[in-house]
Amino acid sequence: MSTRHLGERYEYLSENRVEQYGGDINIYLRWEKHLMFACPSAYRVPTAMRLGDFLEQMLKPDYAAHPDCAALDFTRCQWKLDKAPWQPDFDKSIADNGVGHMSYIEFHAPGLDGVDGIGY
Amino acid sequence: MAKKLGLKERYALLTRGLDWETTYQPMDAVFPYDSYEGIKIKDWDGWADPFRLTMDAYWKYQSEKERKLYAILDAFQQNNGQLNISDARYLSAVKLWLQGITPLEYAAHRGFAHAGRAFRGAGARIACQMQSIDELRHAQTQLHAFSHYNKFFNGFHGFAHMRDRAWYLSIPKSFFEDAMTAGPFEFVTSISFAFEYVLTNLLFMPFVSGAAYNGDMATTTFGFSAQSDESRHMTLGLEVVKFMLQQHEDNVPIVQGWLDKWFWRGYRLLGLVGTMMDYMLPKKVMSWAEAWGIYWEENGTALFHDLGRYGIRLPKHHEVAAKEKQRLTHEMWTVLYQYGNALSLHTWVPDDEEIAWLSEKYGATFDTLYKPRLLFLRAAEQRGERYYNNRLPMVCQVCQIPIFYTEPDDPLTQCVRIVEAAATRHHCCSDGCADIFNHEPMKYVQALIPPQQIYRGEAGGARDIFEYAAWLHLERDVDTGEYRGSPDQKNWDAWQEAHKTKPANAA
Ligand SMILES: [Fe+2]
Ligand SMILES: [Fe+2]
Ligand SMILES: [Zn+2]
Repeated sequence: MSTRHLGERYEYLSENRVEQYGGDINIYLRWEKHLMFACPSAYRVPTAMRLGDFLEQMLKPDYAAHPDCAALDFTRCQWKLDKAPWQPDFDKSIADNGVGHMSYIEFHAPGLDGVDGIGY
Repeated sequence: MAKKLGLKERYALLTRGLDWETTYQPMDAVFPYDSYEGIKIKDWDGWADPFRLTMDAYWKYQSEKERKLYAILDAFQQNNGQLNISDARYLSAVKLWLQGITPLEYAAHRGFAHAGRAFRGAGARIACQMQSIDELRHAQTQLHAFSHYNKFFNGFHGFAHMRDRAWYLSIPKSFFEDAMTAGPFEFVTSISFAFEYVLTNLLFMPFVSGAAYNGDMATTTFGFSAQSDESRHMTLGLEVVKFMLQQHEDNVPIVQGWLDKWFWRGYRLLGLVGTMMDYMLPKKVMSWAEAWGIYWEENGTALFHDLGRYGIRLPKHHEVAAKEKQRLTHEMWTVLYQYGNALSLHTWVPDDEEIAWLSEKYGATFDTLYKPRLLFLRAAEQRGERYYNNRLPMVCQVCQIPIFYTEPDDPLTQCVRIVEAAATRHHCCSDGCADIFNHEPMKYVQALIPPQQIYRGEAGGARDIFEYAAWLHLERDVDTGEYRGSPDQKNWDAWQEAHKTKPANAA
């Protein structure tokens, strides 16, 4: 499928291509059953950052307003990367975990189902 | 001397007699835009315009409307009409209109000027020309009507600056720019038919009746002044679709593709209007679910059944809209609420009476899924911990709405679709938007998505939501954030108090 057009060609680079990030990448995360955070969150991260550091230092503070946050233990979560089951290694870097530009990570924390267990 | 010509004869001469075939250059070189989309026209004279308006009649009607409108706007301003609205919270709806919709009127003016130049048939050209002027008038009258509120309330000042910068305004802006960068037939199908004919009642009816219900005479009056233009625009929309379908059977699948696309894009855009109806209007007109039921599920589908004789079917994914209608506005309001630090309008948790109204309209879905969320937010606010989400969201590459929609069959899981083009992954909010992306990937990889622009350093160097809001020229907790405790609320309460205590003879 393609766009009908006048002129020879209609081809473009993605506006959000990885080259625009000066060595970093743009990634997205979602904590399942926590719709108080209505949308998956967007981050700009260095690929060499330790995944565990990213989760503890960048991601977790964003969820501080949620009563479940205190009990959130990443080592007990179930993970998906770009919609496929995934076993992250928190000691390795983001890149070495296979997380790439525009990757989408979802995690589920067993037993934490949102405010009053209603997924919020 | 010949007898004076009637209106019908003058229109016929204007649209059939004044036109000519070019000879210095081939017609296809003069009008390249009206054929590249693949629409085949055998006979431009098959174009029928039921309004048959000549230019002199057009100027006469429009100037009469202008005179009436400005007389009422003057009276509204002189009588401090802003004090007679239902509540200052109502103005969030007006701010959203000014910021999101008025620029679309101006964009429509530009789009129809271009479409008018692009069509080789004079009847279509004239209709587009008149609509182009109408739309410019709509932009102007709205700015004039709303400018009065700018003297008394915050958040009105930066609409033009924000149009190209604000995350929530990229939703309407990208909608229109998608249409304007298509060919003229798709443009007219998208704006005149899908938006103005099929979905317009969902925009104008709630907004104009909402304004009347909430004592906003300025908005009510421009709404009525625009309405007779709108009926002409709707007719153009229906006319152009029937014209394409009648001219050649090869046009049918092209038109169907456009209807699928623009139904979905229009529906996504209207979520903002639905949220206005259910949450921003202190005095409610009807619920989004009711309006969708009447204006789309009854009237809209009846229209599509009529078009069935040309081979047109209902637009793709309409059943998803039906599944979402009980939850759409509740989900969207909590999005606006949590990203309130970057909005030039106020948000709040509805009061008990409003929550009861939502319960009545949305029943068990609301009571089990959404009411507990609102009560949770209210309790947090009362503890002094009003909730904001300051992390930038994932955004749909097509409709540009932050991805908050939930799966059609699972209201607890956000719906994310991953699409790929130009060696880069992108995200969509729905199968509807993913279909649109996959049909024209090279168009949508060019989209400017606000959180990505921020992270790429293209938003004035802003690194977080507060620096971003400053770049939008928004003053924290004055233009943005919670309504309760805002300067808008404090002023409003003081003015209401003064109004009440004023001696009767001073009125
Ligand atoms: Fe308009
Ligand atoms: Fe219009
Ligand atoms: Zn979308």
